[in-house]
Amino acid sequence: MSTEPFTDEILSAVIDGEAGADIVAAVAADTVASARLAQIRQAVAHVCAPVPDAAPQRRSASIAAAMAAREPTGPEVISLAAARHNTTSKTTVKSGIDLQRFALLAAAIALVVALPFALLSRSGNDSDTAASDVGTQDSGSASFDAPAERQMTPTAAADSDDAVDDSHDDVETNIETTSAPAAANESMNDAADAATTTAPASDHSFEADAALGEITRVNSIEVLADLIRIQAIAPTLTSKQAIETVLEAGFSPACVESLGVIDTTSLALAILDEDGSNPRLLILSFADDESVTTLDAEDCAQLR
Amino acid sequence: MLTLADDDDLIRNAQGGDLSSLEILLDRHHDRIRAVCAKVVGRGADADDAAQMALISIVKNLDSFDGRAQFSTWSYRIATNAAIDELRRRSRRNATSLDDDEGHLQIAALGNLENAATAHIDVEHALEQLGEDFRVPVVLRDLCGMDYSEISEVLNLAPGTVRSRIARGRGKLADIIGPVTNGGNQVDTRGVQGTDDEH
Repeated sequence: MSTEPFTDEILSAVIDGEAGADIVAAVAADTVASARLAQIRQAVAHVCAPVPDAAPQRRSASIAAAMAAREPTGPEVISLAAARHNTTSKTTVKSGIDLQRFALLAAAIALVVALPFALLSRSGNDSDTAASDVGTQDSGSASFDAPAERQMTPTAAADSDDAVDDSHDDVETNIETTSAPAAANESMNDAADAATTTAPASDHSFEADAALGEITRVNSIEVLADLIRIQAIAPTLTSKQAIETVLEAGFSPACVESLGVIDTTSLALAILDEDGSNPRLLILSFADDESVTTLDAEDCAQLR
Repeated sequence: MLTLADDDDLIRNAQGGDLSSLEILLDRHHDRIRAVCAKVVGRGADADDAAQMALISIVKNLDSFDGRAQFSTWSYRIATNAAIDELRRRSRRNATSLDDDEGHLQIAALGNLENAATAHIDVEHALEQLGEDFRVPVVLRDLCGMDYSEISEVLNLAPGTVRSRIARGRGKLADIIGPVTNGGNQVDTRGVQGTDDEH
């Protein structure tokens, strides 16, 4: 029997098969060392013990989340944490002192100013409405690539969509449409420049499209989702949270007349009543502190 | 049949954009990855979170996998990092304290080894008594079967340090779990030079 004190490191080497034959034999001949070796082997066996399976739903969710990371659905979007409409829109309007925010707000105002003229221009040209609604912007613009079959005329949308909630009254950003068309276009051009400055990732800004007189009627939540999720429109916005905010503010997606990027974390939605009146802005402004998944068609359906 | 394909084929197909191959690959390795996370992180929900983050990381980095290491080894590395990240998050939440003053061992459960020998010892609980510095190498070695050099690479530690931590971690775990109890015979291990004197 060996009197050598076998350390745990030596015994661990025995377990791993890294100890020499003489050491193994010496340990085997030493009662105390053998007992300790058995004790450590037992500990190792505990480590190797199987863990309880994950719940099937959790397992599937994990795999689905990983698969989503591979889906070619555009950029990784950033969470737009917590800043909800009733807070953020008020803050945006009331504290919009800095020049950048002022320019961005001007872009959004220009958007609303253009709405009546765009709608008027459509009224005499109904047969072309669907095509023009889908977006006839420059070839590089991806802002309004929603499928043509999803687009409806304002009249059809008003007939089919949900009623507007009374909470519209809470919207802080009501804008009167009193500017002349020329002024509106000039303002839009300025706004487009501002947007280019503040949101370099968004080459296809809403303002540029608005300046062309193209207004997209958003008459279904799927179309709204499509528009928001397009990389060129909102590189860091999440369509899900944006839409949730719209809904939480009491708006039907049918009331979202058009939308555009203010900056990489802010989105402007032009809101109308169902009859096309009372244009106003909904400004969604968010923080970017966590990642979330993008909205897919199934998510859109669940939001109905 | 695709489900019977080996990992290399699945990886190659997945790298080429085949989502079904990727899904099979993830499904095949999920339980193993989660097991690593569970042993390192401990708690079920946290382990699931860590496993999900590991899977996402695998997917995002799959194109960089060059086959020089086994996929299982590579994925263990990712799982380990995800689990450690989860521990960091948990630590920031002040949900638990993993290390003692020396950043090594929490040995609160060591107070009464005789009681421990007769009590049911939950292995997860026992593992949680080890500091992260010891638990992770032990799990990588004994659960994942990684060799010292691989563990050294994963943890960015010298091989000698890895060897020492595994030995000491195993020793502490053995102390927590207690003497071998099969047949009801407790074995006196006094006289064996353990690790307590190293602290």
